[in-house]
Amino acid sequence: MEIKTLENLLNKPFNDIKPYYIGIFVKGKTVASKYIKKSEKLEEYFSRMVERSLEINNAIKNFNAEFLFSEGKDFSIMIYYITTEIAIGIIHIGKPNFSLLKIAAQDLARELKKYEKDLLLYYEEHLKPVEEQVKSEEKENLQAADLDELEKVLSGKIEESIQQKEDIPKNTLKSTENVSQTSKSQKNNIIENRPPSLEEILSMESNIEEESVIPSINEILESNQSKEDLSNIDNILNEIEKEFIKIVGPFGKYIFKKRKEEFFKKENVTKFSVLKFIHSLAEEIPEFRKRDLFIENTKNFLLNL
Amino acid sequence: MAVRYTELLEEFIRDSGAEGAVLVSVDGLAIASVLPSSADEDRVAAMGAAILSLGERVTSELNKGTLEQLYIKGSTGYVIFTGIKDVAVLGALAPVNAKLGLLLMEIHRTVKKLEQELK
Repeated sequence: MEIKTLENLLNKPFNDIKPYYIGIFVKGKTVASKYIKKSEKLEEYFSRMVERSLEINNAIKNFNAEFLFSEGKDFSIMIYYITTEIAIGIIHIGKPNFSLLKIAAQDLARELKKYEKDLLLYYEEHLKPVEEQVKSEEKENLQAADLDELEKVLSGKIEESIQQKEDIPKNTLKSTENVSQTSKSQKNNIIENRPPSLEEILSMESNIEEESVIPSINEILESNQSKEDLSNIDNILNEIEKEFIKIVGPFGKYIFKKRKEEFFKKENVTKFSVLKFIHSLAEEIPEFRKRDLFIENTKNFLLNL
Repeated sequence: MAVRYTELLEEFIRDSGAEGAVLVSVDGLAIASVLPSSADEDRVAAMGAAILSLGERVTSELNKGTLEQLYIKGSTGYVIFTGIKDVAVLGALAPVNAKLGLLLMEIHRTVKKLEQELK
């Protein structure tokens, strides 16, 4: 089957009823169309409307949709279903005439019925693969973005560790100056920018640990647990709510409220329980990247407390 | 409040001879519903809000104002979706032998009442 054949089939109703737009859709994707003025947005919205309307057969048992109709003062829209997957869509500008549109759609449907298998095959061969390709491209982009992010994080860590190494001599110089006389040779080595030996590192370890090891979030939480200010936690919960709504959308407000009420019924409001609350909220975010971003951003609020 | 909406839907079904009705928020979530067991509330709600919104986008692309109502005819009946200002959508399920004139008039009345309630 060629698209030209379908376009020829559209000629008759196009000349008879002079619609603004007429198209043949398979699973909500446009296979062929004719229009007075091309508008990609219009075709996109209309094809999505056709696609969504096909769901009626799943929403109501044994419904067997025949057509959808809508009219305004000087326009009318008809979607005529040939099967549960194939439909004809017509947009007509001018005084609405339901009967005229229905008869034209019925005639075209009769013709198209002969091409039912071909239309589905065309969808499988030309339209479905495009969908999958878009999905795989999205996936590749996502992976590329992940790699970029990972690269940034790693390079950040490397820079950090280089910085740390550069800091080691200064820290060590200050902390070990009065500690032992044997460190003199070490100091000289460090000043000469020679990488320290394993022994030297081990001997410095205790001093370095004190100054350069970043505590984990749990350690921070545990160490500050007794000092925490509950009024600040309220502010942080507000910040978490804002961040959640930013990611989930306006409905996030209700999810947040519901989750908060449920969660803090069982738990006391502490930094640690807020951290657990963040993770429980994150489960409401379906996209993994956004979920991670939410956890990362909100954890920072806790660290600033 | 949902109880009041349910009461209005029940009243509408009683007066119009409809089989069921659902009140849907613009984001596609059911606010209240009285539906037969053959209808999946969530799907009907989401689909109704989506196609009405997409239909509005179509008419807006054509500079033809808003799309207030659309109906789908099936072999077993009708589903009529009507916009309630910009805040909600009323979906009505009617049998195939329903008196469409009466049904549309009752939908109009119920929409007016719901508009007041949703203010």
